[in-house]
Amino acid sequence: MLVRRCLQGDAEAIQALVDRFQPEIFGLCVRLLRHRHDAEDVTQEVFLRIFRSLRRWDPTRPLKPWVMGIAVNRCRTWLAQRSRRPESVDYLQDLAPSRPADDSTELANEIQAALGELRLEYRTVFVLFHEQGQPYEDIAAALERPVGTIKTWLHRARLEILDRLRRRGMISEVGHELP
Amino acid sequence: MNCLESLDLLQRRLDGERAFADRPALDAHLASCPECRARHATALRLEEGLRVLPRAVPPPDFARRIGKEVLRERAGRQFRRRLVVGFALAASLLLAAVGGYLWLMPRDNNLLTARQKRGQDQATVKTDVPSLPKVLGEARQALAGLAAHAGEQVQKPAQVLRSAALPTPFVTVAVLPYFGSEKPPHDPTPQAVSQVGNGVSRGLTPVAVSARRALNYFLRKQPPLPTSPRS
Repeated sequence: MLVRRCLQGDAEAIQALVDRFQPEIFGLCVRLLRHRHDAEDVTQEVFLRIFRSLRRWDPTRPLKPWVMGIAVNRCRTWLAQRSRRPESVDYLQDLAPSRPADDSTELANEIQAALGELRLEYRTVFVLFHEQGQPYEDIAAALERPVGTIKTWLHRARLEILDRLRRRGMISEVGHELP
Repeated sequence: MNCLESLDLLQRRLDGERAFADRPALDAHLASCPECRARHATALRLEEGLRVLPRAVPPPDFARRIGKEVLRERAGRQFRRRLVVGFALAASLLLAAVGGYLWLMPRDNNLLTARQKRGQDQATVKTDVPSLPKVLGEARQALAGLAAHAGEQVQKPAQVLRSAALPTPFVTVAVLPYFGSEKPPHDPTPQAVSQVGNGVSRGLTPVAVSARRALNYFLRKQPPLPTSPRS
């Protein structure tokens, strides 16, 4: 219904759709691009592309994986373009302040740094699964990969993050071999 | 519960499942197995880190800006689409008008081939447009005739004067008293008039000739005439 109203040019419906997906798309873009201003630009591009190609969306399928697939593809393209030009440093200076507790801030920073070192596919799957709570099926639909591949990528992402945490002394030496 | 079952539960936990029916059995196994306890502790630590991971907060009014940009881009796209449709419509109307005009033209003209049309045009040029050399020749003759006529017009009074100045063959009252004498009485006036007439006539003849030559010279100095297309 919302999509149909968007296709008819209903400004309220368009704004509602933006409000609905903007936090997740922006969060994904920030995680994948690791640059806040780039993430803002890409988020806007993603929405422009979504509304340009909204007629091609298959209504029999869920909307969210389709939207997130566009976001992932756009981030991938942006990263490929950015790799060909000098990188501007941002490193997410103005993220929302995390809850201060013991060494949790340090732990979060380490996880964030470990995420930045992951391959793009692993990072995407990890963020979509652990940060945004999307099921395997939706991630598989967004990335157009089998569910088994998504599980494998997610497992490898966890192992690499835990390996970094272990090297940094944030977890014990034993027991970081997760299933 | 053994280690494999413990690992399976850990995997389910990492997949987001929180409620385990056999939680007491798991706790009992973790209490007895340090390796599985370490794995679960690591998973808990990862979950804790993910929980406190700072979230990216979009700038204020970001969604509204995006919405405006989407609407603006959509309006621009619609305008371009209407423009293209308008141009296409205008072009099709123009084509239809041209096609209709060609279709409604007289059939005879449509049936003529290009060569026939060209021959017809050249024939029209030949019949309608007079030849320029011919026109110039006629003009030259007309001017020469005009000059000659002017010369004649000047000569006529001179001849009249001359004939008036010559001795008349008729016997006049004036000469009667001298009838029978050897010589008529000498009168210088007729001879003077005759001489004047001859002089005027001779003087005007070169003028007419000069005018004719000047006209011929003028005509020769004209630029060459364009050649008519070959048939």
